[in-house]
Amino acid sequence: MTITQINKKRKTSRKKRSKNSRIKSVSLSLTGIIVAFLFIFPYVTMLSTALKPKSDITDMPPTYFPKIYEWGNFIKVFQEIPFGMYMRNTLVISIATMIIGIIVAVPAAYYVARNNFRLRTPFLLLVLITQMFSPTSLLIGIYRELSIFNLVNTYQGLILVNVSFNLAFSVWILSSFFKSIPVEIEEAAFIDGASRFQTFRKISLPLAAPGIVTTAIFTFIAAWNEYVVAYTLASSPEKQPFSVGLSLLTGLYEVKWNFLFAGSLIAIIPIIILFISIEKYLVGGLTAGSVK
Amino acid sequence: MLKRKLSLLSTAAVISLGASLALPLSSAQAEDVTLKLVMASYTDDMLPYYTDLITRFEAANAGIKVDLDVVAWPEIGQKVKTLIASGQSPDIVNNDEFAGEAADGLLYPANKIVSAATLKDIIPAFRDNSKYNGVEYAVPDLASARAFFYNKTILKGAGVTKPPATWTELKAAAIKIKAKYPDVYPLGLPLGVEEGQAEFTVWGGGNGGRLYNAKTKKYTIDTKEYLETLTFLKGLVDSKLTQPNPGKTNRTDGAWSLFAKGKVAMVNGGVFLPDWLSKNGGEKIKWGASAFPHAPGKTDITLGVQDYFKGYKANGRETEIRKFLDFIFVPANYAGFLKAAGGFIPATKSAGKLAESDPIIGPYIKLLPKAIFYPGTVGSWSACKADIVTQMGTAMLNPKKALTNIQKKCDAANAG
Amino acid sequence: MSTKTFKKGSSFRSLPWIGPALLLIFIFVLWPVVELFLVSFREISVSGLIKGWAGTENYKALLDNSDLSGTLRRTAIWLVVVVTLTMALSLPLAQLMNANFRGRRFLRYSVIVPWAASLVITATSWKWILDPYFGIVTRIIVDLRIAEEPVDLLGDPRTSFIVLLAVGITVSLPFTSYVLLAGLQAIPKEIMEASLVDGASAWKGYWAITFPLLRPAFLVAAVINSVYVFNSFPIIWVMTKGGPAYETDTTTTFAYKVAFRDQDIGQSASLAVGNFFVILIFIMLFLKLSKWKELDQR
Repeated sequence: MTITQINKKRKTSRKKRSKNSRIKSVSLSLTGIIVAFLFIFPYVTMLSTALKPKSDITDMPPTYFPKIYEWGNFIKVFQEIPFGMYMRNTLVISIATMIIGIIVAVPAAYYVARNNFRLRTPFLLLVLITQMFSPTSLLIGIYRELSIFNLVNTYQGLILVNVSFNLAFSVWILSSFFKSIPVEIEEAAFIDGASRFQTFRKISLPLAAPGIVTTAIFTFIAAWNEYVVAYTLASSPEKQPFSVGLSLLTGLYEVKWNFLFAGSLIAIIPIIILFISIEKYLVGGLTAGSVK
Repeated sequence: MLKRKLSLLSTAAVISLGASLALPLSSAQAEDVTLKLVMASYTDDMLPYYTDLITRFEAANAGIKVDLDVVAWPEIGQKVKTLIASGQSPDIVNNDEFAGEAADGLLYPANKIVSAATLKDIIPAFRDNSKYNGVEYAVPDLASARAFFYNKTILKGAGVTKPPATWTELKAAAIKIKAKYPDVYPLGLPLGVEEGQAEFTVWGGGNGGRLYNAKTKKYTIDTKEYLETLTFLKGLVDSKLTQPNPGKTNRTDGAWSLFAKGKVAMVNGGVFLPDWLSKNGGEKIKWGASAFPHAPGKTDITLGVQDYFKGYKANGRETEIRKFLDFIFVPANYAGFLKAAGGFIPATKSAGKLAESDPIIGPYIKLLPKAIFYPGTVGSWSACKADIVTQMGTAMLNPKKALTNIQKKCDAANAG
Repeated sequence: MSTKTFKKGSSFRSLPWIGPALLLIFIFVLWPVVELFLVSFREISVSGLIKGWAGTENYKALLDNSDLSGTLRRTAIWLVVVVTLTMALSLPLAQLMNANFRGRRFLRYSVIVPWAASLVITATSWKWILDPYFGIVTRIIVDLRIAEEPVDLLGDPRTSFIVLLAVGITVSLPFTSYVLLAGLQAIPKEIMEASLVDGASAWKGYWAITFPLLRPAFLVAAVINSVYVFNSFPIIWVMTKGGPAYETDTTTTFAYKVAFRDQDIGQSASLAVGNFFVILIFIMLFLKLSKWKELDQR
């Protein structure tokens, strides 16, 4: 089918469409909202539980909505469970992962985007393999190795593992950003007598800023949500991020579900907002090199 | 010029990497001797108890700092393991197993970590349970015995005049309760991961089953006794005389919670259950405790469980460990320990004498001669226990298969 | 490669730029692989001490493990069902996310939520929703008179794995449908609209025109998804710990249990070595499907 044929067909059907378009858009909206609700259902339940007073949690049968709305739960969670400590640990780990990750990934991505060198293909292949291996599959190896380095149950161990396993994605997305900057701009600066590093710093780096921010946020989120490595390596509460701390709470004899979920919401809402803010870059990045 | 800046950049990255690698090494060199404790959380009162104890201990022993970690039961085993594997061995641990670590040569013998006087005060039967290859490697901290708890109001209302003593009476009572109170589960059966091995041991014990044969040094789990036991329990489950899905139900968040709400009429409890009930909304329940129902023609038993203090060799803190443990066993401190732990049987003769007159704990001390214990002195017990717990998850669907699997895995652990 | 300015340089010169990244990958990704292989041939005691070489004992113990075959079967089901249904459902979902209607933004943002929210928290909330006594699902089932008694969907081995599959699908959908959405947005509007002209031919048009254009994105998403799903740990671990017994274990949770519950690190490592080769297969598939090298040269 050629484009003209397609256009013709489109014109003839325009009338019919406008007749049905209202019904169609209403039914689409309805479907959309139902589907959307299916996705956020668990989080809505969380919110409803987080707002219940303690006495309502173990109602039999349970109530759909709180009888009294206890907004204070969002503050009490810091006293009831060591939530402040979990959040501090998560912040330390995520911020350090993000910073080290960017420092390591940016030069590598830039170099790979701009240079052809013998190690290039092996390096890219290595990066790709890294992306495929999750720490879950190598858990025993990581555990044994970090034992040798005395890095079990330390921030450093968690940070370095997080950085390493997120490098692949960072390098991919950053190099595609650097590649999208026209080489001519850099050449002009080069001709003006700037050194290669100056060109990189003064021209390429600012131009790639959106990409770097996106990568940084994504790395931050990945480290924020990381669970398996921390679950295995962070054995004391002083080192556990919220993902581990909260999951361990459900193993205790009296689970304070309302506080647990108040804490969970505090932990995930900023991340959801961050995620939405990088939504449009993310999709391109995740499939860099595969979806054009 | 360019090259230099570049290498600066990468050196910076490498240095920050190196620095982060080096940190844990340098932070270990403190001036004071630090004693690292990993203690079981019997109740929420343990943390305040230890915090107070440590403050007083540090004041009395200049130069010793105590680093405390109070850990929930489901996590403590793996935590200790992780610490040991990562070269961060604790100095003192309080939990429920010692033989595996004793076999690996990680532990000080008991006579090195408490004074002779303290050791002499420990009840001899408990000391016997603390030996690996004839040497005492752990100091018992407390013990518990189980009893069969029932809701007096419900039993009376259903026309059950005395607590069931045999399996036959148990089933009859359960049927009566179910008929009278359809929304009550007659028997709470928590075979979940929290304490599945306790249910298995106690019910099987009432039919003459014993987990381990000390003479042949073999586990005896895939036996007629245990098969009959599981088949009997399966019968109760299938007739809906227990709560649904015993394989996932835990003691505290399942069976006991329902007992506290009056939704379960009979449950395996212990010396510690009254304390738990009073703290978890079950203070109004009128409970009674009796001996466990046993199989017809067999005798009743109770399950005795003892926990331990252990001292680890890795950091060479023998003297400090002894100072701290002797401090815990100072009678006033030890009384506080028992109180915080929530109503257990004392491990010392002196505290035991006092407890004999206690209305709640006293009867259990008298039960102790009937107690069977886990084979805690066998090196492979912790691995075997883990497998019993796991297999209990489906034991009510296929008892024979579960027993075969447990036997196989425990044998493998025993051999390896 | 459009580099005119920079000549093919020596690899040595690249080291300051890619060196740190290489170093991290070697130390924290490749070293654990080597460690894993070594441990799988070691004899390790219950408390984690190396006792010596074990030859192939760990592998023999693994093959002899009575719960291995069930775990392998479930892993295959887990992988095939979650990936297939995710792919199948994400096609219409992406289409919906791409359609023009009021509330589209709400839909798109809602789909992002399970992707952004930590898997642990999502799984924890499902565990609570499905709690037999206090969970909302019990209430719904009783209110709808489907059953009179509390149902324990996670505790019953007949239903627990099915529930996990369903949750696994809902958390895999966001990524896949976003990839497909990106693919859809890259298709020129004229082609799209033509293929959706009227009811009768819409379906045909979709398969004839839209889908072929979407295929590269679809295939790559399928492979990446497979890797994620295969490695998935938090969902099963948080909701059932692979239980009751081993009834909901896949190889990842099983390996964890063998290592840390049964305390047999050697045997667990031998299973992880097996997992390693499965992932290698996925990498080969990815390389073949994505033609990554050609695309990289664009």
